Amino acid sequence: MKAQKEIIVALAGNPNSGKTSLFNAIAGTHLKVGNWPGVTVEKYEGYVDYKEYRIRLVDLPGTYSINAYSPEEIIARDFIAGKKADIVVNVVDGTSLERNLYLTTQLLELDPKMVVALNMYDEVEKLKIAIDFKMLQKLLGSHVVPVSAVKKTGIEALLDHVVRIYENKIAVPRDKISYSEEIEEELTELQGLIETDIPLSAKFSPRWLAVKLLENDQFAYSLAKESPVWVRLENKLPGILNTLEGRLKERVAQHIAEDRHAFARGAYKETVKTEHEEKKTITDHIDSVVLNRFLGVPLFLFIMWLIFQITFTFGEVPMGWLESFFAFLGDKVSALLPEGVLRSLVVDGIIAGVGGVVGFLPNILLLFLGLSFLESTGYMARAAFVVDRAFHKIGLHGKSFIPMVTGFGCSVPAFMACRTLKNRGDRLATMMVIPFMSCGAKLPVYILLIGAFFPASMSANLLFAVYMFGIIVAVLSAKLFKSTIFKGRSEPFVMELPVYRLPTLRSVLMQMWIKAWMYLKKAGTVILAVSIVVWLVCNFPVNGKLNLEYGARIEAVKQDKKATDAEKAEAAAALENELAASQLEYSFAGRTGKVIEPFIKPLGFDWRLGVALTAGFAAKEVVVATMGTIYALGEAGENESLTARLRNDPAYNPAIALALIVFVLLYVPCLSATSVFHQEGGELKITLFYIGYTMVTAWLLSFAVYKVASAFI
Amino acid sequence: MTDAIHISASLEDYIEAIFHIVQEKQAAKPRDLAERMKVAGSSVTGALKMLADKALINYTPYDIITLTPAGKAYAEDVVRRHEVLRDFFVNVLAVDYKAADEAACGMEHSVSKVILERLVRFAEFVEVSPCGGKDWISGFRDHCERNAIMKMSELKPGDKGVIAAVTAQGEIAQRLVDMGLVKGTPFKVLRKAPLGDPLEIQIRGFLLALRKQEAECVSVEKKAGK
Repeated sequence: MKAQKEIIVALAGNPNSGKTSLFNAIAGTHLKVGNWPGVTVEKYEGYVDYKEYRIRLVDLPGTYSINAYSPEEIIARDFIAGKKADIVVNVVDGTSLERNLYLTTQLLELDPKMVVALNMYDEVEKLKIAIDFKMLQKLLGSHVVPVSAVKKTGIEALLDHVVRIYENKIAVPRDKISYSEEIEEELTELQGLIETDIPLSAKFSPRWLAVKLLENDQFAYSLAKESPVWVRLENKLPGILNTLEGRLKERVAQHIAEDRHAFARGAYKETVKTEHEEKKTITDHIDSVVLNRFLGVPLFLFIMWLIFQITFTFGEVPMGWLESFFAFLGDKVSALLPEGVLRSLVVDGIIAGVGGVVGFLPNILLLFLGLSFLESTGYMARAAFVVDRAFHKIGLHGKSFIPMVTGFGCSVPAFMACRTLKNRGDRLATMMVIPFMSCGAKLPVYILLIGAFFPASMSANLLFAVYMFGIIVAVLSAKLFKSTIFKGRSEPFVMELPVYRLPTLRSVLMQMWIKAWMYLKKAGTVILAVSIVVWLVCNFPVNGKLNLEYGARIEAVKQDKKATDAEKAEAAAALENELAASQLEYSFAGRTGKVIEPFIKPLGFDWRLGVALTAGFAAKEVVVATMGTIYALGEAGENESLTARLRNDPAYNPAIALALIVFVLLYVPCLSATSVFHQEGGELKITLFYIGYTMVTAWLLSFAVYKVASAFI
Repeated sequence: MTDAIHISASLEDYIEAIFHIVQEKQAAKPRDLAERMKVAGSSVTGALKMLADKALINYTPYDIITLTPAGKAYAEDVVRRHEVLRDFFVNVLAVDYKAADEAACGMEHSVSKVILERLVRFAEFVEVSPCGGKDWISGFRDHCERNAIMKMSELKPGDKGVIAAVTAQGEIAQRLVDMGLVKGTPFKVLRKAPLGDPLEIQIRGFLLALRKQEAECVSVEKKAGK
C-alpha cells in the first residue's frame, strides 16, 4: 500500500452555518467525537480519502468571532493561529452572508491557506439570491466554492480546491482588509517592528499580531512580551493607543470591529443581489405563531409534554425487549457457568447492572431524538427565548431549561447538556439543581411506595406532587446559589434565532447517535465498575457458617419424602431467600446499613432502608431491587408481593413512605451521574459540595415531611 | 378697513369656514356651517349674529349667508395666514401635512403681519441662499426623521432604528459588537418574548434575541414612523 499524505483541514464558521452538516457530509462514516483538552467543548474529527491524500477534518467550535472571550473562540484561534491546520475551510451560510463574512475577515487576518465554502447554496438558488463569485473572491482574496451539505453538491469541488491549494497550484491574490487610515498608519509601524523578529513573524502573521495588539488582546501581548522587539513595542504602544483614541474618539478595539463589519457589509452589498428585501419569510410566519404572546408559552409546554409522552410511551416497548433480553442472557450464562462466585458476579453483578442502564437506552434515544430534532429545526433557541424571563428570575438562563428538562430523563446527559451554558456560574448553578429534577430511574421507587401505602385513587396526584416538589426545590436552590456562591453577572442573553429548517433524517439520527453514544460510553463504563463494586459489598464477606447451615436445611427439605416436588421447590426457595437476606445483613452493605441507622432513625428509616439507600448510590432503580432482596423475596420484579410485604410490615407507615420518597427524590444521584458531574464541573471541591448539598437537603426535607405527615396521618 | 376690525379667534374660524363654503357653493347655510365646524346649530346662530353686527356677513335667520366685501377681505387674510404657516411647516420644517394644517389652525389667529411676512421671506431665502437650498432642507428632514437617541430597550415591536453606540463594557460589549451591533447598523424590533422579556430584533439579515438588560446598553436612533 502506498503511503498516503495527510492534509489537516480545519472547518471554521458561525454557529448555524451548517458546519457540522458539511462535516458529516464529507466525513460521515469516519467520525470521532472527543473533547478539546481541558474544556467541556466537544471535538469532532474525521477523515476522507481524496485522490492520493487522506484529508483529516477537524470541526472547530462554531463562533461568531475570534476574540478569545469564550473557550470556543480560544480553541478556534489557537488552532488556526498556531498553524495546526494545513488548510482552513471557512464555512459560511450563503443565505446570511453579511453576518457570516465578519468571521471571515478575522480568519483572513490570521493569514492561513483558506477556502470559503459557501454553504446552503441550494437555498441560495431557491431564494433567487444572486452572488457574484468572482467579485467575492477578489474582495476576500480567497477561493469561494458553492456547496450544499444537505444536497451534497459541490463537495468534490471543495475537496479539489483543498488539495490544489495545499499543493500551491492555485491561489488568489490576497488583499488585506483595510482599516481606517488612522489605524492603518499605526499598523504599518507596528507591523514593521514585529517583522524584525523573524522567528515570531514566521509563526504568526505580523499584521494579525499588530491588529491584535491594538485590540488589547492578551494572547498577542503574551506573544509580544517574549519577543526581543518587546522593548521597543513597550515604549511605542501606549502612545499609539492614546493618539488613536484621541483621533477616533472611541475605543480602538471598537473602531476596528466597526471597520470589519463595514468591510463585511461592503463585500455583501457589492456581491449579493436579492429580489425581495422585506419579504415575509416562512420563519416569520412560524414565529408569529410559535412566539405569539398568548400561544408561545402553551405551545412550549405542549411540545415538551409531547417529547416526554413519546419518550416514555414509545420507549416502554423496546425497554421491555431489552429487559427480557438481559434476563434471557442471565439465564443462559447461569446455565453455562458453574454455580459459585464467578456466576454470581457475572449474572447478578455485571449483566444485571449493565442491563439496568442499557435498559434505559430506548428512552434516552427517543429523548435525544426529540431534542436533536428541536435543535436542528431551530425551535430550541425559541424555547430558550420563551422561557428566559422565568428562568432569569430564579437566576438561571433561558438555555438552562434544556438540561433541566433532560434531567427528567436522566441526569447524565443533562449534566453534559449544560455545556451550552458558557458562563461558569450559570452552568454550575444549573448542574447543581438537575438532581432535583426527578430522573426516570426514581420512578419505580415512587410507584412501589405509593402503591403500598396509598389508595390507587390518590396515586396519580401524588406522583405529580412528587415531581412538582422536586421542581420547587430546584427553583429555590437555584435562587439560593445565584445569590450566594455563584453570584456575579450571569451570562448575557444574546442569541441568534436561526431560520427554521427541516433537518434531514440522517443528520438528526447522527446527532442522536453521537449523544447516545456518549451516554453509553460514559455511563456504561462507570456502571460496569460500579456494578462490580455493589455486587462485592452485597456479597462479601461471605458468612460461611450461615451458608453451611442453610445448605444443610435446603438439602433436608429436598430429601423430605412426604412433600410433593412443588412443595419441595417452594420450601427450598423460601430458605434460599432467607439465606440471601441474612447474607446481605452480614455483608459490607448490611453492616453499612447498621452503621448509618442512627443517622436515618429520625426520618423513621431502619437499617434495611439504610442498605437500600446506600445501594441507591449505584443506581436509583437498585433501591427497589435491594429492598426486594432484603425482604427475602429474591427477584425485584415481583413488586406486588413486595408491595404487600411492605404494607403489612408494622415497622412502616405512610409517613415513612412519604419521607422515603422525598429522600430518594432529593439525595445524591447515582454514581455514574456523579462521576459525569465531576467531569463536567471539573473541581473536586464542587463535586463534594454537590454531594453534601443534596444529602443535607434530602435529610432536612425528609425529616420535615416525616414530622408533618406523622402529625396528620 | 380690516385692520380696524378685531374679532375673537373662534369668530375668525367661523369667517374662515364661511369663506370656504362660499367658495365651494356660492352661499352658505347655517347647517353647512354647523356641520363643518362640528358644533351645535344654536352656537352657530350666536356667532353669525355677532359677525353680522360687525358687518362682515349678510345674515338674516332662515336665509343663506354671504360675505360682505369687508368680510371677504378679512376671511382672505385669515386663510392666507393659515396657508403661510402651513406651508412653512411642511416645506421648511418638514412636518407632515395633516399635523402642519392642525398647528396652523391654532396659530393663525395670533400671528402678526410682520412675523408672517418674515416667515414667507425666510422660506424664499432658504430656497435661493447659496448655503441653503433644497438639499439643505432635505438634509434637515433626514435629521428630523431620526429622533433623539434612546435606548434599544425603549423601542416597541415594529419600530425601526439605527444603532448609535454600544455603551456596555467587557464581555457584553464584545458579544454585541460581534453580533454586528455597531454604529450605523439599521435594525428592526420584531417582537417581545411571550413573557415580555427578551426581545427579538432583525439585524444584518438575521434574527437576534437579547434581554432588556442588554438592550439597555445599546443606544439607538429611532426612525420616525413604522
